[in-house]
Amino acid sequence: MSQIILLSSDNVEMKVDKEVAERSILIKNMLEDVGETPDQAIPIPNVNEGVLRKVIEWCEHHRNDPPPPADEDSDSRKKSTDIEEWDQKFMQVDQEMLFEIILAANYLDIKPLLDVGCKTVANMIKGKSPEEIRKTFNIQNDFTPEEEDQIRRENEWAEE
Amino acid sequence: MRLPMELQLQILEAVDFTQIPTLIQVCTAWRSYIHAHIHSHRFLARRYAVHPRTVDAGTLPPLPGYHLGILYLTHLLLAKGEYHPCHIEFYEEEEKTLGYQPKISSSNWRIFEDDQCVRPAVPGNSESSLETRIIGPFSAPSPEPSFSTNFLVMLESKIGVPVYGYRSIGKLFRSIAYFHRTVFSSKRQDEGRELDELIRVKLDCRFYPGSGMTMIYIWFEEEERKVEDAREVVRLIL
Repeated sequence: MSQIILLSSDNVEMKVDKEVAERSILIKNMLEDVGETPDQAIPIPNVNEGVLRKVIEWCEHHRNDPPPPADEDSDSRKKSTDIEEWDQKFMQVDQEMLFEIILAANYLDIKPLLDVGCKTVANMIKGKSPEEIRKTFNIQNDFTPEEEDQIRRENEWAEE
Repeated sequence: MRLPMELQLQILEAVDFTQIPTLIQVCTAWRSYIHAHIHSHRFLARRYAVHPRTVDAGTLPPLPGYHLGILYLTHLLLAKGEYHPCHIEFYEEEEKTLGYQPKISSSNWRIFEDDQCVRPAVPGNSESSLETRIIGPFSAPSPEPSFSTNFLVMLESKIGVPVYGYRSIGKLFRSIAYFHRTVFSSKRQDEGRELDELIRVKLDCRFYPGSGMTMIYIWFEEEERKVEDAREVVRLIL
């Protein structure tokens, strides 16, 4: 089986089966454009070694998965609870790494991994208060105090 | 570390619907996104499939009860105008059976276990005419109903939102009510202050208690009056 070399942003080379690397649509398209298996390392400038290793680990495990459904609104992509057990364990990383994996999956165009990442974060924020969610995402509260008060009152009835 | 907005919004797509009241309080961007997409995206992705069976009033349970959770919807509907009685029907069918013939089992209140239900003194007359009672397997009234169910419940309304889960039935209904309320608010914004549309709400509530499946169909029908002042509507809802 042919292998290719990926070069992380911190200049670490990693040999990967072509089939595994092609879980990334970005790499797959790149290889198709080149037309043959390149001898030189393919630079992945936005992903460091640690994150790239995690991404490759995920791709290795899912190398034989069928391609994701073309329908963007497919229910299987949207339901937040149905994360495979292996993926759940895979995603048991600190928040920094989790966000890095999501960014890498987005950059490398690995939709199923991006979905798993997003679902993991979605499950993570379940039950959190707006303030806790802001902290998680490093989001600034840009509501005016009046707006905030109004929104809170609007939603009081829907809370426990 | 901060995820770009594009990815934050993708995460919102995966979040459980019941979290929306919290999520819209996070920031203006999330709020705008949820309000802008709530009608057109996943929340309306599933349309209500109209049950082919014609409702035969003669076969309805004689005195339909109301699950307490339904009141979350009636709070909304009552605020919007005249409230017509709902019909509640129970059907049982074998799981994954195609072409089934539904049958009514009106006494199947056990589905609620010790969750609280209300029964209208005069069916559908008004919220104030509803009296509370506990529906339990052995009619043992509990002073503090547990509001929990071990059944997987799926709720879907005519305007599209499916809610799944093992949560309390009341909470599931509340999620549906929130959705209706949000749709209603947006329509109000679209159409200015005057409201004169006919609202029909049909809820399809399914329970999956193991191998079989019990479905509860609940019909709400409400004809909206004209409301001159939208602030009055909001006050009534809240």
